Amino acid sequence: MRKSARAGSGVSNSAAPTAPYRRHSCGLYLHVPLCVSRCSYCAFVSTTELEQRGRLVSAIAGELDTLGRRAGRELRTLYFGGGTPSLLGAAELATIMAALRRWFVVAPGAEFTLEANPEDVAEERLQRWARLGVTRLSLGVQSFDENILRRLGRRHSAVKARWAVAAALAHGFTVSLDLMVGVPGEGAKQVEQSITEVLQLLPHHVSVYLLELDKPTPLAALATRCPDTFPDEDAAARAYLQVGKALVGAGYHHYEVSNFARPGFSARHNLRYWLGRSVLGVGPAAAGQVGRQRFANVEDIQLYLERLEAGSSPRAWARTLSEHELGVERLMLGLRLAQGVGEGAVQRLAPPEFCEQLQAFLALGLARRRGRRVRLTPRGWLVSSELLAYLV
Amino acid sequence: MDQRHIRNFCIIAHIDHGKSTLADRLLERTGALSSREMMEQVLDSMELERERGITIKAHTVTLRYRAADGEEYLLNLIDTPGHVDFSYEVSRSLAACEGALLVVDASQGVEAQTLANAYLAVAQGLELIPVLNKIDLPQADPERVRQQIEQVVGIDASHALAISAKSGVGVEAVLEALVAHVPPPAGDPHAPLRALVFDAAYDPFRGVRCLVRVVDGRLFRGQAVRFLASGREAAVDELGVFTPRPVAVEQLAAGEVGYVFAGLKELAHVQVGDTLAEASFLGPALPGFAEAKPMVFAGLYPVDSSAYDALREALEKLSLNDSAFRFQPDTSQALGFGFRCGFLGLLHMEVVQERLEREFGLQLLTTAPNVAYRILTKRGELQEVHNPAQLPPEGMIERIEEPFILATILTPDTYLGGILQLVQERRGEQVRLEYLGGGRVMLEYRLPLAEVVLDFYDRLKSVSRGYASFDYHFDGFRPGNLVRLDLVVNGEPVDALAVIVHRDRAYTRGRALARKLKETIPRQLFEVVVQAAIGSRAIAREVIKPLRKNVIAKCYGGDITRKRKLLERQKEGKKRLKRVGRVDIPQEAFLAVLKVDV
Ligand SMILES: Nc1nc2c(ncn2[C@@H]2O[C@H](COP(=O)(O)OP(=O)(O)O)[C@@H](O)[C@H]2O)c(=O)[nH]1
Ligand SMILES: C[S@@+](CC[C@H](N)C(=O)[O-])C[C@H]1O[C@@H](n2cnc3c(N)ncnc32)[C@H](O)[C@@H]1O
Ligand code: SF4
Repeated sequence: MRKSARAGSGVSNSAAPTAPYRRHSCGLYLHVPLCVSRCSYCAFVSTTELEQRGRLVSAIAGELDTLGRRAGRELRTLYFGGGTPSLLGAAELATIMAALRRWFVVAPGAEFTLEANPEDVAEERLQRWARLGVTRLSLGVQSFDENILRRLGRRHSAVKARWAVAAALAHGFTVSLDLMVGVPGEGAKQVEQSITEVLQLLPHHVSVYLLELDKPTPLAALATRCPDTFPDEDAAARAYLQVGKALVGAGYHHYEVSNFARPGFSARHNLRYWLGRSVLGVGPAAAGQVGRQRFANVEDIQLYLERLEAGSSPRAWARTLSEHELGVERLMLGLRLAQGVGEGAVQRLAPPEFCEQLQAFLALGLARRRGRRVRLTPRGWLVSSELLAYLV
Repeated sequence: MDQRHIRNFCIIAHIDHGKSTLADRLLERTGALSSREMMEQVLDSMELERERGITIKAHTVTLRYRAADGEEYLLNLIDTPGHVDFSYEVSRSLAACEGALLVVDASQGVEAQTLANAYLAVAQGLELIPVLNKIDLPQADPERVRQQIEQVVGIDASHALAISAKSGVGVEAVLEALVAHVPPPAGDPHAPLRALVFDAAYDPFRGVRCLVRVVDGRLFRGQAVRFLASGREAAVDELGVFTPRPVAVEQLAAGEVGYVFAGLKELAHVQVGDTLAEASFLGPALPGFAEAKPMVFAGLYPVDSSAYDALREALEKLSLNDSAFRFQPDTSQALGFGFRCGFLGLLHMEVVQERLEREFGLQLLTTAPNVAYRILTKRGELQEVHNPAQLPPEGMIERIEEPFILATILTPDTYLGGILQLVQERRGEQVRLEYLGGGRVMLEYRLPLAEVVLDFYDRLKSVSRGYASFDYHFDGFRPGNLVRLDLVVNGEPVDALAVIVHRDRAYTRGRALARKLKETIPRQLFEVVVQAAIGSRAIAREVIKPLRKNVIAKCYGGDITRKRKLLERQKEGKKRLKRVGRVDIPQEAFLAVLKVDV
């Protein structure tokens, strides 16, 4: 449950920098909650009222200002996500970057990712992003099938997506590409096609997401109404394994449940989440963690604007995790990574039912032990909730 | 009072025909109740009973009535349990009476419950006074119902009283008829004491309270007494009558009815039907005593295994005031620690279950009910089996006997076809089929109790759109061609799912059960094979494919907290699973077996 924001908790206007923020390296996530249109599967916090963008950019700049005044520090990774940060114009990006650079130092060699809708990719934008220091573009391709793209409510065509990836690569960005599997209209042919296309483009990084329908979206409603339009559980699982196998065959490392990277190109920002390292969050619904503190901003965009415009904190809640909670979470996230977790930590932190289920996973080849570490196999990841549920 | 001025009677009626209303009227007419007390229908006392409109425990009330002849009479109204499950208790209550009012709703006619109890009363030699109730209703047809009573019950109904219990019309005539037609008690007031215990209840402050009908001699305070069947000796602490408020008296004489406290602390110390006599009495007990024997058994398990002790305490408390209820600890490899419980019948089981959940706040898992079986082994040993999982291997069994019932069903003839098909499916054997006129039919069938315990009532209701009425009496054990059907999950028989079925039906039932389990068991990490088997021979097989996908695809920053919640919810779901071998079986699966209809 979300705690209500308390005055004084989280961000304050005090200029005194707090020690923990300075001591450690840090990442920063910045949420841009703007979309031209909503995709049918998407439940991320975002609005299509683009006329809000001016207020939003000011508010975000304002939040960066207060946050930085108190906790400015060196950033090892920077991630502009959304929503659609690729919508932002030159002046808007400049405002945000100015506020950011005023209080934060972007470390040399930092990873700076910007999420982009392929439709927004254009030559001059690519140049602008490069000038601003963006090093990595994450492109929401989702599928190379026009029919599927339509059903997903994507703005772009497969042709445009193909061009966007190639152009981004040509401009020297590290490129990541999002694919979705288990989506309506997907058959063996469409899966094959995705594989062929990705391997032709050969981006540095690929995220392969099994469609999630746990939040109320138009697509989730469709799934209840006509489940037959969707590939069944087995077909979706097959697609996930098939794409994974092809990527691994082409030299990608399957380093997290949904993520693949060519050597040296794992998403450094995302790894910070998975390894429990500090990340600040800016913008509506953005969440972050510093040390044992976790916090999140309000999800309601209007409320976010009002708070910042009134000079108060956008924090929805903040709480301190116990050592045990952190440990358990580290296990949960660690088992989502190829590197797995140490057996010592499992023995120390996991309840007996978990250990019992882990034995079953090992016996069924869903988990593997190597030295003193255990990890899940791709088939194990597919059913990982059956194990991780026993952790919480 | 002089025996010639005592009348002991009960009211026999189908549910809703007006028994309680008439009882209230009788109390009112004799001044036993103020109108404020009339608010409650006084003879029913437990909340649950009132809701279900049934009376589980017999109560009694003593009425003083000055009759037309100018004499004062003591009328003892003995309330009887209305439901078939308590037929032994009914018979003991009837044994305390010399007469009965047979109340029939004149707008409805004779129903199964009327009949079954009327037969019992006739068999016990009671004088039956037919009463046609609800004549105020426009659709009442007293003449037709009068004829029906003569035809079906087989008694003279020419003097049947037409009344309206609701308005009070004819109630005076009922009182006069009781005086005129119910024979006075015939016991010997000078003989040594013999009193019939026809009910026992537990009072948390006073201990066991018995209801008795003094047959011979007299019962007085301080008397040293003995229960002849149990041999237990006691001293009479207090005795009295209900008016309906309890009023202590110094003695109860032959023919009288009242309550007794004799310092007994446990209900188990008293058996309904026992004879209360002087401690030194050497003569014979009153006839008709039998131990109330549970016929239907089921496993009761706490949903949350940590509630085991609470369940045991609740069962102990419950058995304090329900002498027919039995329980003993039982373990099931599938359901863990729980209790095997014995009930008089299905309704009794439901009542107990509901009380446990309502009064004690327990969440229970109940296995499919089964009947008691008698086994004769090849070695010539007789054993009674209350749990299908404990049936000896087929090779060791010479003969299995199962309990039968004699069922009475009354129905509009429109539904006869459906009902005949139902009783045939249930291995019924026709004893009697009679057209009653007015488009009604009476059926008597002999049926295995096992075929009735599952969902017979529900099916009967649905094939007759609720118009058929049903009642039954236990009719002894008979041998049957029965086999144990095991449900085997990944090679392990699940004890709580074993059933005993007729060999001819084993195949279809096995297939249906296996299919049902396939539907209820969620996919697991590995393939699960569900088989129905007789002995080592599988007769049905279903495969549950392994689970392929249960994963959180996206897990980033702010989401981690939320995803954790998702996992917590999954874990909550897992709590309702019982692990058998390596397979997680949901509790619904154990209940689904109840719903399989073949
Ligand atoms: N119209 C009418 N209704 C009656 C009469 N006697 C009882 N009832 C109604 O029939 C229903 C069942 O009566 P009740 O005494 O509870 O039946 P029991 O189940 O046999 O005890 C109640 O709604 C009564 O009010 C009667 O003489 N006339
Ligand atoms: C937050 S979105 C932002 C990306 C950007 N707005 C775009 O659409 O190009 C990041 C990625 O999450 C994935 N995603 C969003 N909703 C999803 C869902 N319901 N199930 C699976 N993946 C989803 C999509 O692949 C999407 O590209
Ligand atoms: S997927 Fe991206 S573009 Fe589509 S609605 Fe979600 S945030 Fe907006």
